[in-house]
Amino acid sequence: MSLTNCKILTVPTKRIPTLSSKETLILQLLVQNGESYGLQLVAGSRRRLKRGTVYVTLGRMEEKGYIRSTLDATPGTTGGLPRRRYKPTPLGRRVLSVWTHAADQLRPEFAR
Amino acid sequence: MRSGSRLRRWAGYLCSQRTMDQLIDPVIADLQHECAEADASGHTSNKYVALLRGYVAFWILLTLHVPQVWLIGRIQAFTAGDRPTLRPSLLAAALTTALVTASLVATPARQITRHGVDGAWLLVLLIPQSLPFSIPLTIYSGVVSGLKGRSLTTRLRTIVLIIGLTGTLASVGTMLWLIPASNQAFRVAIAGFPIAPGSAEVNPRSLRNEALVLKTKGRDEEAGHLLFAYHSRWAIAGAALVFALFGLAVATLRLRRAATTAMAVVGCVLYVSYFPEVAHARFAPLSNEPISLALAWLPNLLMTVTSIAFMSVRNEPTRP
Repeated sequence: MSLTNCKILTVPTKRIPTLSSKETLILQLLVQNGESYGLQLVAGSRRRLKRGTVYVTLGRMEEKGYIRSTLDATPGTTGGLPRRRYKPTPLGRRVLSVWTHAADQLRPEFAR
Repeated sequence: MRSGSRLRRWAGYLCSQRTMDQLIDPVIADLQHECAEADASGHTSNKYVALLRGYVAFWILLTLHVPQVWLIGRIQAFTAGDRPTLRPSLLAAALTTALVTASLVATPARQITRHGVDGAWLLVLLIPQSLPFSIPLTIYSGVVSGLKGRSLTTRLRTIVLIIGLTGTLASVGTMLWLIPASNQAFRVAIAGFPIAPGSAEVNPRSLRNEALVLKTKGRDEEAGHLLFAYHSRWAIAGAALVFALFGLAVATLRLRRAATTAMAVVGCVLYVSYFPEVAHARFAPLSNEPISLALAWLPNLLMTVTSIAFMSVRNEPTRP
């Protein structure tokens, strides 16, 4: 095996970004509504997202780099813990766009 | 105290800072925010609904999703870091299981052909009796093949010891329930009519009681035989942990593969043949319980001491 081949074969292949149905929904909601709280996403999802699980998906999406979160600077007049706001990253927007485009392209094929 | 503060404190004992930041705190913040909104609106019932929804969300998250996220993280970390270890380890373990099981099952399997009984189910019934030996040897070969030449981290050592402990628990379960039941089923199938269980087919407690009864009757030789069988069952069940430790020790030695294999074969043959040899010797002092106990646990003790001696020898890792 040549040295070049060796190098090519040992280069770690980066995984292609994928979106689950929940991740797609969250990205769609964030792109439509802009920066949102977790509960707003749950409310806007028409029961497709649950308040017990939405933060698991949001955490995973943040690790993948699709969204970014920031803590509210002020906890509000009531005190308590500051809430977390989520917004899509440029990567998240691009992945959603490609994903939606691919799904639109493939849908007629599967509709037959 | 603000709603959810106590829940948050409990979760803080269990979860990492990252899990708290990503999962727990947002749920608690939502709960507190909704309660505050309900308070401001003056509707007490709304506050209770908000509390209930918040608590349900919190407990679902803590009991279902936090363990799931933790487990997935562990598995990903393991498969990413230890993939080179896993393949040779599983291969060697599978090969050893097949070889040991086949060699231990071969002798009694001859009876099947001799008696002309339909063999497939009887072969299955023979497999459990090979497990107390095949489990430790499988663990040993898996550990040595996977870890040979690698620098042993505390995490790898812990994983190996957990595997050893799990193997021991599996062996205990096999010895207590599986072997007596399968041995008896085998004997009945071979005989063709119901027969009383022999010493290998009773559970350990009955075996010990029988030995003590024989001893009071002065039948020391038979009592010793049964007493040694009783103690050796527990000793063999503990062998999985001992062999895991031994495998860990051999993996730390800078030896050639042939030397490691030779050491493994000699060690295993000596270990496996020791118990039947002592049991067949049928000498009277075995009826003395401390002697019987000591002789049954002697191989485990020797292997543990050898393992500690091997591990205390300083070896430079050859491969990170």
